[in-house]
Amino acid sequence: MKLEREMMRGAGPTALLQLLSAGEKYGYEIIEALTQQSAGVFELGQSTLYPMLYNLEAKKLVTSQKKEGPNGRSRRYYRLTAKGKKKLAADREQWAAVIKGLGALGVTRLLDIAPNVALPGLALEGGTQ
Amino acid sequence: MSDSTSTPFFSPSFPAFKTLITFLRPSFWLGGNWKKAIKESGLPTDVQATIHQVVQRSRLMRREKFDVAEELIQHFQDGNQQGRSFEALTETFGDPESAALLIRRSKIRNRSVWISAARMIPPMMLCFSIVYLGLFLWYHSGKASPTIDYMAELNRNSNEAEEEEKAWPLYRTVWAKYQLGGMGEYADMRQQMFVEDKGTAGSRLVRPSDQQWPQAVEVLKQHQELLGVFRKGANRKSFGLVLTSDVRQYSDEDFAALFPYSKKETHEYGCGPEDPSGILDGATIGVLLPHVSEVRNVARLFHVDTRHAVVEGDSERATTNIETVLGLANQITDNKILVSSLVAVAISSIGFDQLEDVIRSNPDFLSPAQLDRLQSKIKQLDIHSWLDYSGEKACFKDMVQRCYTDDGNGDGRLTAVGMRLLKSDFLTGVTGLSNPSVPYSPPAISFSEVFAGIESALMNSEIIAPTSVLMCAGRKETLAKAEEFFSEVESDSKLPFWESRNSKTDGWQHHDDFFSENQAKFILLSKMFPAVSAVNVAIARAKARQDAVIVALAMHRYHRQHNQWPETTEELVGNYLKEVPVDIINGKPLHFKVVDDAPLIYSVGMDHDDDGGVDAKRKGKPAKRSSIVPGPKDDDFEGDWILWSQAMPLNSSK
Repeated sequence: MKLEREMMRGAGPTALLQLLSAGEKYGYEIIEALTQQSAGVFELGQSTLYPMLYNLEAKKLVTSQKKEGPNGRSRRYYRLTAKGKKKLAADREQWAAVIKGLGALGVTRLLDIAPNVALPGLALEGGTQ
Repeated sequence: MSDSTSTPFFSPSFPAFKTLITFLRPSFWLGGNWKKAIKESGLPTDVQATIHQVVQRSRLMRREKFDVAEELIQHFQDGNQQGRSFEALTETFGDPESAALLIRRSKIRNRSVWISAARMIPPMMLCFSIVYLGLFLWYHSGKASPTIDYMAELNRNSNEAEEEEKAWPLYRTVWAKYQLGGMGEYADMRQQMFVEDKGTAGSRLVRPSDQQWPQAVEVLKQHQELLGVFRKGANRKSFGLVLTSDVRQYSDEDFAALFPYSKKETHEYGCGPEDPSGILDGATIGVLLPHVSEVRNVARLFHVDTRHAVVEGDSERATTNIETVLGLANQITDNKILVSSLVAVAISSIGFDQLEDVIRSNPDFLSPAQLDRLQSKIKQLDIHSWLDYSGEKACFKDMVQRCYTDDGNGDGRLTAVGMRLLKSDFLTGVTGLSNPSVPYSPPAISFSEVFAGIESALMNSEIIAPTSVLMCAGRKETLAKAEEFFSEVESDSKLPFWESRNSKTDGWQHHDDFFSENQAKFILLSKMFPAVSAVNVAIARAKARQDAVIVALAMHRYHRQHNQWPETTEELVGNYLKEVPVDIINGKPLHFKVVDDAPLIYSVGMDHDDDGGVDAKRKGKPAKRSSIVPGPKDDDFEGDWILWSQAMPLNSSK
């Protein structure tokens, strides 16, 4: 399942921040990781990734640096800034609240939204419904 | 986020400093060659085309394009290395056009404020250049087209006078012979009329007690013809010299009289290098008044001759001389130019001084009939009418029609030629009357001389001159403002002095403030509007003196008849005065006292109270009478303003 554009616009940056919280990554690596780890939910049009990264960079949430990769080729690597880490923490809380709210409304169950996605810090009260 | 408020500018982490460093790097301007990078990437042609399309359409800065191209090349290389075909990668990449748009937006957001601002400079420069070019063409295309002969307005009185009412045809006959306005034997001779005054360290007219007196008498003898002609001419209604700003307009006889050492063909005319366009040819602002100061010199000659008449016991000649001088004062104002009015004030003062001289030296020298004659003559002097701004108004309107375009509906804009004239010192030089508070003075700040230089250069720069179209008021607005100011001045001039603005503490300050604040907008008005305060005061002083002289003559006539002085000025009303003249300071009757059998007539002076006829002091020191400027109460002064000082020793009165 792929997210609609508006949903991606809201969730995509948080997903990117989350992904980079594990360590620095280069463009294609991020695309691959997003697709695999979100079971295709966050499968970005590849051309969308870079504008999203540049926007996060403009907001000083990520920073980039050109350096040589293990295969000897030079690439641009992105990593979270301190501000990015704070933002990610805030986003996590907000998404948890959204999911909790949606769950409470009976819109959907957590597992229906993203059965394979690990959502750290999310603790639903009263378990799944 | 860096804290720019606490980071010193020269710190490498200061954003502006970082941007500056970025700007200084050649790579910022040259960037990288993104096209070459794509070509040398080794990627298939289709992929290269996609990347090329995205980068090209992003319309970013060269440096940014290179970064995007590099990143997309890496993207495709990494994808292929991960086992995906280039076809598949191209397919999943998305629409290049949308990608270009999104990349452009996000990259622009990524720019620092400093770079964004720097990026705005070229378009702004372009806009500015276009606007400036428009203004430049608009400004330089404006041409003035003067249509009204304002010189004719200045000459109205002369032109309307009958030939036998004009004095100039008489004066002209002796003007050249006696080198009035020139150099030579007679002009040198007249220097004998002056001696150095040890008391004031200046020069004064010679007196019979001076060692130089015999030489002066000899000079007077040499000038008998001139004095005779002026005695005759001064009775005429009009001075009668037709004014012009172009010497070529003078008749040959007039030119020969006024400029005896010059040839008409080679004499400079117009405004010379100040006005290469010739727009001021015939302008009232350049009106020639070569006769005015010479008439004052003739009045001085009469003063000495009057002293001689007293020595010779010729009271009739003394009386006629005084009448002549007062007649000259009146004649000189027939052109309604304020400069002439101010000279008339000076000439009338010479007349009053003569009279005071005569009576001081011998109170019974003049007969009652002569005293009566002189009193009538002085009363006839309509000094208040000399305060006439019509000439200045005509000069102003004339300059407007020469400096502004005319759209046919009374409006127009300042022309380049007009602006050049206004920025030169020409106006002040010509009129000598422009408002002293107006000349441009840069603010007194640190490095003031440097700033003054820069500001002055900008003010006078030809480069910024076209912006005057935006800054300066148009023709209609300028004329309307001038009309408002002149009307205010004219209606104020109809008030008695003690009710006029000059008697108020703030006086004409609102005009000065207006001109200071609107110097650029109303540049012509601020340069040409007369120094109202100074002119009004000069006329008021002359009027005060006239009134005092009239009272003095009335008192002497009373004394001759009753062999005693009147107790009050009211006793003079009827036979000796029509009404008691009032003090211009407060509108109450002039004060007098009798000292050593001589009257002393005075105004309450600057402290506005009657001190019993004590000469004025300023901050405890004797004040020159010429330093008394009638106006609001001034606590620096004490004592009174002596207007008829017959009762005082000669040295303290002059």
